[in-house]
Amino acid sequence: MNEFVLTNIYKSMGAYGVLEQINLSMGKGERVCLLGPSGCGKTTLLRIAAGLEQPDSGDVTFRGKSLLDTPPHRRNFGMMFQDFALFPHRNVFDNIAFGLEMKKRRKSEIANRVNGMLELVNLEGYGHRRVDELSGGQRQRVALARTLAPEPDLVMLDEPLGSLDRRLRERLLADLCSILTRTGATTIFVTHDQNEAFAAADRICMMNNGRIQQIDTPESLYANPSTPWVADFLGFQNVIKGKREEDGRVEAGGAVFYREQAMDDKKGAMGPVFLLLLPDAAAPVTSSEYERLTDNRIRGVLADRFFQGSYQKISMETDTNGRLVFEVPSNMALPSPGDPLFMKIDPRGLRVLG
Amino acid sequence: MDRIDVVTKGSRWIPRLAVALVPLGFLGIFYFYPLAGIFHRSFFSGEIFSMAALLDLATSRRMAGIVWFTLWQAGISTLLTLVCALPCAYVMANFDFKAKKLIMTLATIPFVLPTIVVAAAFQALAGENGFVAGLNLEHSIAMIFLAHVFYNFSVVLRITTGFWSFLQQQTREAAAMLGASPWQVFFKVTLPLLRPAILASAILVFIFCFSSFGVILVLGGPKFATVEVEIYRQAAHLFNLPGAAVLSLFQIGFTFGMMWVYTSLQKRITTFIPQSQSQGLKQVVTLKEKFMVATCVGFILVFCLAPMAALVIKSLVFEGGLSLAFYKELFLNTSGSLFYVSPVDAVENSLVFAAATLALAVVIGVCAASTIQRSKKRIGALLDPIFMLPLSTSAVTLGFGIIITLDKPPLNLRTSVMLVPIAHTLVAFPFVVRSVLPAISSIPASLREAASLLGATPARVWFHVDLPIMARAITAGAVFAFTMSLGEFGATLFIARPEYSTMPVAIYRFLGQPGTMNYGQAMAVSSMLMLVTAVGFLFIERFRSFGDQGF
Repeated sequence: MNEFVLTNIYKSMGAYGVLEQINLSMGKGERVCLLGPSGCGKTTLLRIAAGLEQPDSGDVTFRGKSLLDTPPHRRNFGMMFQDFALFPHRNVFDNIAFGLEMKKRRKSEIANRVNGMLELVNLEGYGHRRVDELSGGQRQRVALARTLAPEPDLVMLDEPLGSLDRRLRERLLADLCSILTRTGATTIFVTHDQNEAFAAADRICMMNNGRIQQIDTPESLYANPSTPWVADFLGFQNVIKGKREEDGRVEAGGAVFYREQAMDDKKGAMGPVFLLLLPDAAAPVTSSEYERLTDNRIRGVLADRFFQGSYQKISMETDTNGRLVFEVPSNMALPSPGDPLFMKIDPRGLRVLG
Repeated sequence: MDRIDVVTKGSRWIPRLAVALVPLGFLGIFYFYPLAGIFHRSFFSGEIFSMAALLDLATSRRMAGIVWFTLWQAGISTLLTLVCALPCAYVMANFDFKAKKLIMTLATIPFVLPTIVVAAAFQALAGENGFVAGLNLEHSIAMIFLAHVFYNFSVVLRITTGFWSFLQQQTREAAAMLGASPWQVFFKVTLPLLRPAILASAILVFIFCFSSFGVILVLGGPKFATVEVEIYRQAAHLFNLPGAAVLSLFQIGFTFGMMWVYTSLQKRITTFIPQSQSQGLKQVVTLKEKFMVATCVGFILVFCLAPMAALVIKSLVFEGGLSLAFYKELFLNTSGSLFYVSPVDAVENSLVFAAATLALAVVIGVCAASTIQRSKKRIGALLDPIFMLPLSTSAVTLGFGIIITLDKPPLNLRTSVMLVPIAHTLVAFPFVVRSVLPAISSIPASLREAASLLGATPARVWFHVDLPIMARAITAGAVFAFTMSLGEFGATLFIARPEYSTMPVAIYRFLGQPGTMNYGQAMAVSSMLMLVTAVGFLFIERFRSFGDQGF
């Protein structure tokens, strides 16, 4: 049974446009990441889930019951805010204890639980510190402990690492994930950083312009981006315009690309499509080899090459498909920049985008 | 190498020292010397040490009564101000609505009005001949409370609103997510966070009410006297200088103590202020919210405008019809007038004094700000509060100190025309410092260095870099000094010789005389003074770019 479900959410966000047709369901203990550029509506969606904002239409249900009439303080959800929103008038201990006090727990029980949380986030002995004496990373951990202390049914994290510097982020992300895994909390995690999303999420929900673009596991999202926008956001560069023929072949700029199965997967409709060539799909061949191929080949002029260590990045200027960028092994012989370059395309590296 | 060092060091030191000596010398002669005079009068009779004056006062029932009255009227006034202003601060800090800025500005005007004008306005509204004379508030304690709330309302409103709207929406949302109901959010999060701001504004209001002079003198009549009023009566009417000195000492000690508490609270406020800008103002949607906003706006409009409107109307109504008779009368030198100077001369005096104050306050204020900014951090932190000292000393005390010390050698200024502008400058120049200091500190050192590498001498650097950047702040400070001088009452009443009477003193004298013509002329002068100060304030508001809670 689905633990938490958002159905047909619609919400006007003023200058930021609208959230439209949002459908998302989560299982118990699952960790879903909302990923997208700033202004795409992911924070608004999180706030709707929390009850801090009401959707214009649509439903939010938890364990089968609608939450629309339940104010945030009765939902038993936890939220960690982007800049943590720690209470400046309370010390570390009292910050973490706040949620338990609201639940009217006994003093001794609160003390036990808070000390347990301090231990969980590696801040033993910090209970009496003022929050403005803490470093960014320590604040983040206090905020996490405060969020988890009352054992919320759903944990929401809004850019939990957003306000920290890069090096700290990598280390804390690992800590964060292990703590969340240990507590087994159902979690929604908002970020604009794909590395964070890939590392933390069971499933990623890609959002742009107030709409969900794709929901998938990190692996299949990366292997099969479903739209040119998703491919672009994930950093893929070789997206070309083409036309799908009856037999599933895609004709693009005079070249023909064909992959027996994958091409048919995508509902098989004829007409204009976008074709993604994965960066490792191409291998240089001689001109005679190139001539022998009938499809899955591409030619152009080598524009630039950049040594990257184990591989080299090459950018080629094609006659009809613009500039394409591929990665090839470093030891592979290449023509000099400015000379013609012939490439064979591995059909497993082709993706048709809707 | 060494020689160059010595030369540059020397040439930098001398002008700096000269600049520092201007404000320090001024304070030394016109503030600390009179203060020392008050001490001396309190404990010495002639050259002999004597506690007589002190003991006289300490054992006097009448004095105990006066001190007690001063304290409780200030306490109640503060409480009433909080009760009126806090709900309005809630509305102002949480809702977004049209004309909010205008309402806020309007609510602040009473605070910048001269106290004597406030007193006259309440006289016009609820005094014997006032609009709601039926309430019979003439010379009643209720009238004093009303005037104090009117005057101080915006102090609480502005400080608390500013702080409240800086409290992050997120902090409250975090509490809600942790299971706190809206009431719990208010009592467990919002209120504790607001406490230092509320306390600080309350202390400020308490200090103002504690040192209230003009309002009590005019509205209280002979029945009521605060310490401040009593100092004036003892010194000016009974010529009991030692008694007045002891009272002044008490006044100074008490306000210093309160100011110290206020400053330490202020420090706590700044550490509490979150970094991010105010955000998430609510739109007014529900009926309840509309009602709250309407009540708040309505209250501010009526409460702030009614006394001012009453004042203007009273000044324009003569024998049942609209007329400029009172204004015209000001410019006629009626024979048999009880004044040494005609009202028109008082206007002229006021303008001359204000212009002189402006010039003095700007020069001294800019020198003081430069000195603070250029000294080492520790010295600057020490100098800053020293330059603010005159603000925490009541005007009456300042005036009293000046007349008992500067009337004999080594420095006899008793007959000097400069005495009034000097006293006004004492109160006005700290505001110039407050206005100029943020501007001067905002100039990055690299700007001056760039100019000097491009060949500018230190003087030209100051003229072409510092001055243009400070110009706005100086202008704001100058306008403030000007309007402040126009409205100053307590010190002026003490020190101005009859021929140097100013507008506020003229208003006070008019109010003290019987007859429609005197009453009407008091209203007319007050209206003029109100217009000038209000316009000056609006000008500063538009000009001020630094610091939102300028108190």
